[in-house]
Amino acid sequence: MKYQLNLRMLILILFILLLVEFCFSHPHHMEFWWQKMKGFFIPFSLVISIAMMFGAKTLGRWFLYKKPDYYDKD
Amino acid sequence: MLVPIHPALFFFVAALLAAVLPSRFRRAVQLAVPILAFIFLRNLIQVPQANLFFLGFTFRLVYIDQLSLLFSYTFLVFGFLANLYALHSEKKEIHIASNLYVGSSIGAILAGDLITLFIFWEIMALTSAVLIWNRQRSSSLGALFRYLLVHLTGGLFFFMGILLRLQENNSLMISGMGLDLAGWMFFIGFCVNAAVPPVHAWMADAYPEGTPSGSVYLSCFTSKVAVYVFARVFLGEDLLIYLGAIAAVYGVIYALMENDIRRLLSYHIICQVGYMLIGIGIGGHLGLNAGVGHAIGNILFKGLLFMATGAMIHMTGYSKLSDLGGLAKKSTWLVIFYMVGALAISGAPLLNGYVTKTLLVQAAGQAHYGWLELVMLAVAIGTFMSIALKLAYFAFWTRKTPPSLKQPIASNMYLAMGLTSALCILLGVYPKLLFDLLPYPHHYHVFDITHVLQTFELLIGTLVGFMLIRKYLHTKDVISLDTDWLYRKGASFFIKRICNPTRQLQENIQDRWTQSISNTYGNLMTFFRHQIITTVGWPLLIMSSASLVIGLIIIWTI
Repeated sequence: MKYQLNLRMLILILFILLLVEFCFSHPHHMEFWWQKMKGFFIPFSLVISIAMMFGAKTLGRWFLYKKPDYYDKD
Repeated sequence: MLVPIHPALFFFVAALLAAVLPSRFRRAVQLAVPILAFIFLRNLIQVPQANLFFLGFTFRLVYIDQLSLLFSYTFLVFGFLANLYALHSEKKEIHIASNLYVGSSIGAILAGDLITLFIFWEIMALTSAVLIWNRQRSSSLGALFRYLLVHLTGGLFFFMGILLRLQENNSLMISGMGLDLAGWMFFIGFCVNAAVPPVHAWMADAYPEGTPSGSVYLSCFTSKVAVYVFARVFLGEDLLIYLGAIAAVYGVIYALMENDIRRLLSYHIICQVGYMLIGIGIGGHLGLNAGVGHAIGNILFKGLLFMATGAMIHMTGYSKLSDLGGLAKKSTWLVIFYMVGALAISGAPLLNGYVTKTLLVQAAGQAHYGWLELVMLAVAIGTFMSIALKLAYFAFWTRKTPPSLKQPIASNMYLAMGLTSALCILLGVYPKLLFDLLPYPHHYHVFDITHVLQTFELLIGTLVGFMLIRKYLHTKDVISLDTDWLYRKGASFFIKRICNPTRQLQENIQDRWTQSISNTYGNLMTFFRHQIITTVGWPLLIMSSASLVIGLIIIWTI
């Protein structure tokens, strides 16, 4: 219940941030397309954070994780 | 005006004093030395060069410009904070080694020629090894040997670079150079100390093995001295951009996998050094300022994180996330200080990490490296995820009952963490203090509303992502393999499959030779005894030997 509430609150904050960006942000010196796209960093951070975490865990499980005594074993 | 004294000398004297003074006086010396060195460094600005003539070479023991001054100031400030943090420690060895380590780091920063730099560089390697060994566990000893092996190899490359440079143009100057043969030697030597992949694994191997106080020192000097020499020698070298990007991504991926809290932070040093190298590789005023500024910021927030995790280990005796949890109930201040460091490294606004990361993003944008900007933002997400969310969540909040307390956190540790946090906030709120000290002082506009909003979107978006998948993030008691596998398992393979059979072969050959020589000798002796002595007798033998000697003397005289 508390978890759901926190999550909803965070999503609400993201909406407020997006709204503020639409109203008050007038960026200049835009070099790249993603800088011109308002709210780009919300989906970007969501996708990257989930992908990175799963990617790292998968890499670990498939190849890199070993028991703590791995180097002590002969 | 005070007598000009090299600031490193104060630390070397303090190391001697630490060995002989009782603990109360030793503590006073530990706090006074960085302050004294700071005063004398200010005084030394008026003597920007101090030369020593020896063996036909000019050695510049002191070379002061804006870059070396900025690093020296930061090292002294952090040296004071680290000394304050370690003040409760009764182990003399830590104080002796830390003084030598900080002193040699400052010596390396102020060095104006390659030989002086090399000497301090090697003292740093040896004294930091003592800090690793000080925990005196069997794993520490193994890590110490591997650390020395890697660093002495790096030092060898550095030394070969010096010899080649001397052969080419008889110069010992530390100045910009390209990637010719000598340049490559230097480059590899510096990469080892900066922990750039693939020669980075020593860091995650050795730093977690130090004592909590020892690791605080270790986290801040070796890699930053390497970043400093990169800035001096390879400014604007494109290769650094690509290596920096690889280091940043590599470090953050491994940090996400890690279970040991100090190994996790060590991977983040690799990651953050990547950011610094990107700035130096981009070059120009903005690139250099951004890379160097990030190094300065990193010394503070990474030091703070090592202090906080050291306090966790000091308090509980555990260093793995799978063993920790619920520590928020034990110390609220620890949570606050840790979160200041974690948010600073994640680039949250009003903290110093935000300022320097903004400069780095601006530098990448200005140099038209779009992909690099996206990589840096993705790495910032991974950093926030691993340090501010994963580590904090599993250490402070997961368990309802925290592990039992081994000992409370000492007040000097709290004070050191508080002061370091205050500096992180001060430089974040009032970045002009940092901008004025950068190699090219300039007032950058970092609090642009669009950028602040985008940073918040990035951080809160990541937080939402973490909340969605946190169920799947259980920590397990595992280690992750890295490139050190090559010399840890590879060395044992080499010994088993190559050294042992070779030794056996050598022993076999040796045995056979010994046997056959002894047989021949035995046969000769038997022949001598039975055939000659029994046949001709002793008097004739002595006479013939004497005539042989006399004959030889005559031949020699002629």
